[in-house]
Amino acid sequence: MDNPLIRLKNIYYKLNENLIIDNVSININQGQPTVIMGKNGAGKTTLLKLLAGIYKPTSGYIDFGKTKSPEIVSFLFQQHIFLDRSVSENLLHALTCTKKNDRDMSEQKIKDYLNEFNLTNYRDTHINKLSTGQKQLISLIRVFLIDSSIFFLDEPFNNLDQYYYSYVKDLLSDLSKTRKIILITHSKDEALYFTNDIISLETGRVV
Amino acid sequence: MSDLIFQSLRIILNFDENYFQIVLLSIFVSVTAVIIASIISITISSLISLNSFKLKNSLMIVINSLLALPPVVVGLILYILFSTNGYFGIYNLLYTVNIMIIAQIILVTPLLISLCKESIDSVNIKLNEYLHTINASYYQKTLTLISECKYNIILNIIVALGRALSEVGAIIIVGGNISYLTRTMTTGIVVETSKGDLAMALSLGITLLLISLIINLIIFMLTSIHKNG
Repeated sequence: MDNPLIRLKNIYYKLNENLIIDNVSININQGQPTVIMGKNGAGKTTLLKLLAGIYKPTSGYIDFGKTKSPEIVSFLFQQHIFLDRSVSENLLHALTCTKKNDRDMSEQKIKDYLNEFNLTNYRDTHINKLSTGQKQLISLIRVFLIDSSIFFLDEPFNNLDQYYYSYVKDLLSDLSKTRKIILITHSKDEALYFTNDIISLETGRVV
Repeated sequence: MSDLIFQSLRIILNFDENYFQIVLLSIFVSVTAVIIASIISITISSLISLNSFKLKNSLMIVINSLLALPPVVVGLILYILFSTNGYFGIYNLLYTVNIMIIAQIILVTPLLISLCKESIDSVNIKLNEYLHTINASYYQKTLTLISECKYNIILNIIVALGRALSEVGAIIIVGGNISYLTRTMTTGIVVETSKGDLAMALSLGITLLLISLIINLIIFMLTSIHKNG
């Protein structure tokens, strides 16, 4: 069997003396998507952020394999994080910082994605004027634009209508053939649609 | 009383030379001091906000304590340092506009550092994880955070300008309140009142109030623009 992409060994994570992750040891393997499931407050988001290298564990060991530690990560936040700017400026900022493309190429990519998601009309709209669902789509576009080798998605189907739900589901299904996807969902049907590799969390422990 | 107000308004509307020179000098000293203090403060506050170091909290306690620094004490210390026998006496800055600017920089810098750090911190808390995921460099991070709280920083600068314009204790000591040379609106009010020229003192007071009103109007407009996107 291949070496795991990410290996967590005896991970503990405390926040203000509260134990959020309690002795978790798991391997994230290459191949099919990995789904993290669990009730609210189980520690799913914290585990995803530990896997992405956003959080450092209080104790334990994380092995990111060949990549050492992911530097640029396609991470979909559950709580949208945006700059106080327009849609295109937000997307351009991410691409500029990741230095993936030159400005012209970045702008073309943004145009293409907005067109693909039927959001071209919102290109110059201030991000705060979008609905929650539209913000979710822009967050997803940003994740696709950053395009790292592993996608970390915290509840990617939140606030999406039926059309976009199916559209994003198909898109992620296609993407999973070339990229590793680690996602959080509350729906068992959604999880099983993508994978058999399911991590169940309960009060910070893998069950 | 009404006669006094009438005389004061006449001084203002006629652009009396003495009055006009005092107002211009006041604005020049305060604006220059606030521009220099802003450059220093934005740099220092972003350095404090974006870096973790051992004495960070202690440094902020010291800076916040300096907010309560009495202007007359600043004036006195500068007077001692820049008087003929002082450490910096050779520069001959006492009773010049330059020393007045220095005094105001010292007075408004702690205020600006404290306010700007708060603004940068609040944006940093919001954006930190996102900036981490895109591996933003230190330079990109600093630029993004400052740009994201630019409205708050502008408001902080305007607040500092208001404080600088209304300051009297330090600049009267180091500037000497010399007519046509180092007399500002606040120091002018002090001297004209003691001289009994209440019309001139009142005209300067009205101007100071008008400037304060304009500053608050700008703050209100900027806040409204920012809130409405």
